[in-house]
Amino acid sequence: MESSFAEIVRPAGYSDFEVIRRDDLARLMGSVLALDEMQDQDENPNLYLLNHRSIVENRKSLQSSDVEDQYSVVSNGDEEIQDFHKNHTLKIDVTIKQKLFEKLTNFGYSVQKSSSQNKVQINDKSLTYLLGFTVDKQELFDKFVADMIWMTYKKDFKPLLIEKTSIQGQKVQNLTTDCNWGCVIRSGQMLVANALVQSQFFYQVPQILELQFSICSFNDGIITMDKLLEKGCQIQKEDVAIVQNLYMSFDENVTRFSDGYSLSQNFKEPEWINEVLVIVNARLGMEGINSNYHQVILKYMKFPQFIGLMGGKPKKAYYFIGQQEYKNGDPAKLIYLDPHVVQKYSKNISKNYQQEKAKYHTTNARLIKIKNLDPCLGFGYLIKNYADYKQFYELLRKYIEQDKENSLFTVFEKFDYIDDDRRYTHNTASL
Amino acid sequence: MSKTRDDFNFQFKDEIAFERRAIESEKIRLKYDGRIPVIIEKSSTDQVLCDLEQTKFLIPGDFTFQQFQMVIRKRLQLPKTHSLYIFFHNNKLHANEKSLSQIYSECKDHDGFLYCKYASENFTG
Repeated sequence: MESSFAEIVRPAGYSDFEVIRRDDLARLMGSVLALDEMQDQDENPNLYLLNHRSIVENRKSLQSSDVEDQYSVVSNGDEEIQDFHKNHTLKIDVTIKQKLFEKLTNFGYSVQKSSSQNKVQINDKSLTYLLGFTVDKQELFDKFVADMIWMTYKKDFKPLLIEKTSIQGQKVQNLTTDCNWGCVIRSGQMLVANALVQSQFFYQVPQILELQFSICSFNDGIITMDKLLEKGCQIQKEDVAIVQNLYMSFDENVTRFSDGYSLSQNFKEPEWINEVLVIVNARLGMEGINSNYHQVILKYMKFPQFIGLMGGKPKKAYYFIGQQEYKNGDPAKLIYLDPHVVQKYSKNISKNYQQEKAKYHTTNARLIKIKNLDPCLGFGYLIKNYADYKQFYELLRKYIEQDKENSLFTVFEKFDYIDDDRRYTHNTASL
Repeated sequence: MSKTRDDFNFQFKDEIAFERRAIESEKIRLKYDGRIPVIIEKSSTDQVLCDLEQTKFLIPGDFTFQQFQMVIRKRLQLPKTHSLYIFFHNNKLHANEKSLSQIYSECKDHDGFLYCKYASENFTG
């Protein structure tokens, strides 16, 4: 393709560098994604670091000095840690509170599950979309949802050997569960995992569950598949041959919008070999979503490339997979999977997968009104090939034209690099 | 709508009476032709960003929304890795290319100032 076909997708209203980021979420996701999945790596306890604030790019950065400034990094030789597992008083201190939270969370979930309110029911009066496609039979819907990966809070993993102040200001120490604070991460995990399920490279579910999400950096809010695959290579030693092959082909095409690369610059038709997961973060209002955007959100959730929406109620994150429209004129509702239930962490996922299938799959999809949503959202799109990309691009163009004022995204034909400080500094004055 | 109004309380408004604000804005508009008096304060819900030292700004009307954002980012000394969201009275997103005078005509307050709030993303647990 010619260079004239260069464009950048970004949400309206943000400067170049922040557009695609959902930085808090992304940082949370990038660093803590696989709390439990990480636990088997005994030889490197530094990896247990729970890093809320800074992006964990790789192992090196974990050990770098600025991380050490923020957290008390505990090394392997530290006696305190050696003693930690014997030191039950410390542990009990933490778990009494945690157990209470666990009980409450699980109770809340069971109440929600047993109630018939907000349950997804497919009938003639409504039109149901699931990941961008219509579903018209209840059995089909249940089957599709059951095939999706469902992540929840986990408990009883090896304690995270850290001591720090959490985002809510409370002191967190030696966590063995992510109950009460991990739901954003879980919803992000679900998005990535389900993107891998949908991928054209046919990953097996246990294979996906075993991926070490934690290392792949989400520093641009964009997860390129190569990051995940790179990790995949390291874990699944026996599959290296296959995976590495794929990885090699991915290698050239790392795309970061914020770095000033454009979508099509890297993806030329004959050479398109990679899939790209695009997560577009946006805040659609100060408190609550502006009602102008309700229809727009629904529209963007009907894209065939749509892979899920990270978001939730205030203080509660969900993974949104679809929507239901009503023919009697009621406002449409969103369908979500709820990570708010605590399950026991299990080792050797691929070995025990068949017995523990219920841990990773659910049919309990629920409905929520759009007006109850928190304004911070992350739209996920999986672009598999050039045709997909073309379609995605055309649809974006079409919707932007339709929405005009209310459009969430803007598309640029040509990338204009705007970071020139001189352009504004001499022009501003304070009162 | 009442919810969004609640968040749109400004210290500046509480401290100074309406008449004085109106006179002040008129004076500024006369003295600095083409500049827009902007009052920007942190959202009450935000826990991450720090407060701006100055909340009053005079921004040229031909500035785009993006340029305005960069001014604020610079003042906050916000690294590129952090997100910043600025919302005006109508609680809507604005295109980067939109000029501030355009926004001013849409969202200005009765007293002649342009009020906005800034925030990063919400935490959820």
